[in-house]
Amino acid sequence: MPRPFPLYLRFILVILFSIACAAFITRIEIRQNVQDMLPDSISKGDMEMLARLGLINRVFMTVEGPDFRTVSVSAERLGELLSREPVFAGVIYRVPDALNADELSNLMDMLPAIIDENDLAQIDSSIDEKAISAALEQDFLLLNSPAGLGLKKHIQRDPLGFIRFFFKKLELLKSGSRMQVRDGMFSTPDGRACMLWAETREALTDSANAEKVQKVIDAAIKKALLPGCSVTIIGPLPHTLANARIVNHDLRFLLSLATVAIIVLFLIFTRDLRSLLLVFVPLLSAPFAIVATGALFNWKISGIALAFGVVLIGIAVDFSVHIYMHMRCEAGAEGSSGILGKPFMRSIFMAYLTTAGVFVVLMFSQIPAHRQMAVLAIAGLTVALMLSIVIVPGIAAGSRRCSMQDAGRILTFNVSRRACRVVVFLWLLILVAGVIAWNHVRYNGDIRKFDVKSDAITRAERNFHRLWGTDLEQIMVVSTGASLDQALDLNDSVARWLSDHGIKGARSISVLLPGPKKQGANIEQWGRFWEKRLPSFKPLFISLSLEKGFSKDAFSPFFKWLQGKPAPFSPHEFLTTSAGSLLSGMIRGLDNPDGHVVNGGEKVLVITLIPSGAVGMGELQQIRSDLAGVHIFTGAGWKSEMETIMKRDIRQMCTGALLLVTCIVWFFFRSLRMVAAALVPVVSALCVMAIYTVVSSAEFNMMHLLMGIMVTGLSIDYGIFMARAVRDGHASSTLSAVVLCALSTISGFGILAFSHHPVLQSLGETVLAGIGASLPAALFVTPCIMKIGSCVKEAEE
Amino acid sequence: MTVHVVEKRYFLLLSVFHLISCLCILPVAAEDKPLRYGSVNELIAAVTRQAATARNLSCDVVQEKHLSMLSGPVIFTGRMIVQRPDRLRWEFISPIPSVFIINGSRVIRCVQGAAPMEIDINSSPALKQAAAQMLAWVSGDLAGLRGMFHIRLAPKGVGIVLEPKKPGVSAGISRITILFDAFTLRPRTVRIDEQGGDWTRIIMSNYHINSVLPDGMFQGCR
Repeated sequence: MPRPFPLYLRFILVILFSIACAAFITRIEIRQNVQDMLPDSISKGDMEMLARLGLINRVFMTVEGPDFRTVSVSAERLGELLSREPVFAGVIYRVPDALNADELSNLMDMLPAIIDENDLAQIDSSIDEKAISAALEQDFLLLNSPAGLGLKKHIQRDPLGFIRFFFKKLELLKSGSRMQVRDGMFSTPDGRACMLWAETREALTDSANAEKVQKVIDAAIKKALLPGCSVTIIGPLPHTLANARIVNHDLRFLLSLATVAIIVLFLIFTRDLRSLLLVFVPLLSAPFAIVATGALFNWKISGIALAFGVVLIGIAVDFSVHIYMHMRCEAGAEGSSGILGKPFMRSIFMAYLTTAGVFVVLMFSQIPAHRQMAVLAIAGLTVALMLSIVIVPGIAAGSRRCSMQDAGRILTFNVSRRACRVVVFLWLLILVAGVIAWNHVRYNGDIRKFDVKSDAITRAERNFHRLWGTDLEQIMVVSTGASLDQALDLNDSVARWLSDHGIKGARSISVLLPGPKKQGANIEQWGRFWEKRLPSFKPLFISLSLEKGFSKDAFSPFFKWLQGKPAPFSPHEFLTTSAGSLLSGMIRGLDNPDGHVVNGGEKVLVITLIPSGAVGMGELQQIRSDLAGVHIFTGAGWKSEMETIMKRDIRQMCTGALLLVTCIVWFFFRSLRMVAAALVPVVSALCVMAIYTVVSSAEFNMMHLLMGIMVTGLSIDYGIFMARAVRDGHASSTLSAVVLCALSTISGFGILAFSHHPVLQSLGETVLAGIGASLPAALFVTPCIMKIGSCVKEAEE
Repeated sequence: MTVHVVEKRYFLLLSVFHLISCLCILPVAAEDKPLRYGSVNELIAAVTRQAATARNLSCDVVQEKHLSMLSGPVIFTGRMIVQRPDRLRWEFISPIPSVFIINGSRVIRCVQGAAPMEIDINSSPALKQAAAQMLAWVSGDLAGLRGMFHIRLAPKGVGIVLEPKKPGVSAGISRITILFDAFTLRPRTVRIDEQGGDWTRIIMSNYHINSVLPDGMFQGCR
């Protein structure tokens, strides 16, 4: 027999292999993009669009203080300071300059293209003798007031005040909001709060960026605020920071605790310091797994997938533990030579296939990050198993050999057949409860559930809503187009659709900035309107103006305007004016006319806002199907879509995993009872997870899906090893190995149930419930099922 | 009229009216003898020195408008009341009563038979700038005027002539001439000439200084 490599040489070779793999890791681009966590059916274009709309890059700040003067000065200083900071692409803290004379004149030129049929109906009722007379009287007085000199030309051109239609439409855009413009600042009606908002260059969903931006804001606040003022911030920034800080804190504390617990467990179960080396086996396999996944996914891996994938590889420590315990306690003479027996290798291989099999199922998930995690886990498990076979026998060879009593001291499953019947009956009850619970499980697809919402954030958001009356859950209808004209035309169609369907409260720039088609239609109506009325209106108006003291030609600019041939205006040019700039927040894509093609070439986005509750999901779906190129963003819509997808994913994957695992186990055992016995821990884990979710009034989320898959992969191994051990009659080392594996998993993952972060908490709870159920099931129910049936007899024979 | 219509030329006019008001208030403590000034700086310095002495003033006003868009000259009479630092009440009594008030950042306009109309004068940076200038005038700091106008001494009498530096934003104003009382340095007449030949003259008389003003005079039109 050839002499095997010494342990240290094996370690050196493995470490060199890991280092070689790690060298390729630098090629991998780690993406911090939330879209990797969203199903494929929620298109990436939608997410990119959301990013382009600036919603994940925006910081809203409210400065509050004792009076308007203090608050406005503080807000202005803060705005000025922040606008100088390179981290911000733009800071809006006051309205642009007021209209100058030319702009006012241009607005009059634009009016025929803006005024619609409703406005014309109002004009119709304001051009009778009485109304004209009243308007002219006002004009006369205004002309003679201190403001008259400045407004003389405007009065001559617009004696009936048609410009009011423009400003009324402008007012419509802030419907529902309590925001007022005071002293050029965005203020509350009582003047005790001013708002400013900033757009960052980098996404605020990235915690490093968020920290950087927060530092800049803190420094500016320190310099800008007058005594008595305070600032509250809402938007993605506080959420990202709260999440990152809590995750860091919890991971530092809980993982330290988990590490200590795992070390203690290993030492208690093995009484061998060398056994701690087992923990390093999965770690050494991680670089290869990461590189393999990177190569498969074009060297781009989601940060979330990477983190969770590496964690999932951690379950490969179970292979090492089983090999180690087997070599120490049951391999006999083989152990010293570092060779594993064929029957045991069969079990290890089966365990590997079932564990990897459940991750194969995860590859069919609709969530891109899940697929990456699956590949990472499969690659990691494969390499970890190979490394375990190479290294672990060497570790075990140098350890003190255990005796049957060592394991027997810990636990035994030598129970009577009668007791077994009771155990199986109780288990069946749990099974029934589990099946019932599965039908009552509620799903929550709201990814905001993974968000830490501290009291401070909740208070700030409530305060924002109270002060500004802004609906944070507004529905966004985005009209897209290859050009501004196209997007505006589609936006007009959206406005018309909403109006035709009686949906009120929508804020659309369609009223002020119609697309070319609507402009043309408005101009045509305007022309027809005045063509019909001018012959009688003009003489009446002139005679009344003479009565009021005006000269005969006083209003010739007005009639020149009415009789002229209006032309459509350029939306681009209008947006460069101070009035137009007020609308720029509702349009995206103009600043980047050449690039950033989204969803098949749409470049310009025009937003319409609808209050949440003003429209049902069915109507929103209808808009989308009626108007091609329209995208709808609604929290409720996403939640519902995610729920449907997740419900389908969880059911399909759990069924798929169970089927696959059953097939693999059947392939190896070829015995119904063995298969049933091996599946007991998995079924128990899934049932208890459902029961726990229903009893604790919790909801299934994406984390449950992910960790449920992991628990399935682990639990089936417990079942396989236990069933084989009972059948082959060498249960003691298997028992210790299974208990050690389960307890180390509970210590490592289950401890996260005490985290303050919802994601980690979900993760921990799932593992606690799942492994917490599968361990006793493997220890007591699996042997009992084996004992009750004929399999046991066969094994005994 | 919505606040956005209140554009630069309007601010300029408000400034002019405030200037008139402020020039009225500044020379309250002038001595009772005719004064002679060799330069505009000297004159401005003289009125500026008087600035701190008056808390408020009121005077009778006659406004005469000669506009091509009117069938003939229109004369309005009324009263103007100014209170430092930032309040003005311009009230016409005949032929049609009307009131125009500036109170800090608020503008209130009332016409007989119509509801008062309120405008936030500070709804834009330009307006804020105008308001800052008004405050400067009220406080006697006339240096700010030089930013908008070329100022020279009037050719006849004691007075100044203001010519806008940027005609584009001056609402067609070509010149403002303010003549002071040679003894008291209070404005006697203000004439605003526009491009195209229209002109307005305001004659002020019967000054009252630091009188007790009724409450709410700048809060509403009553």
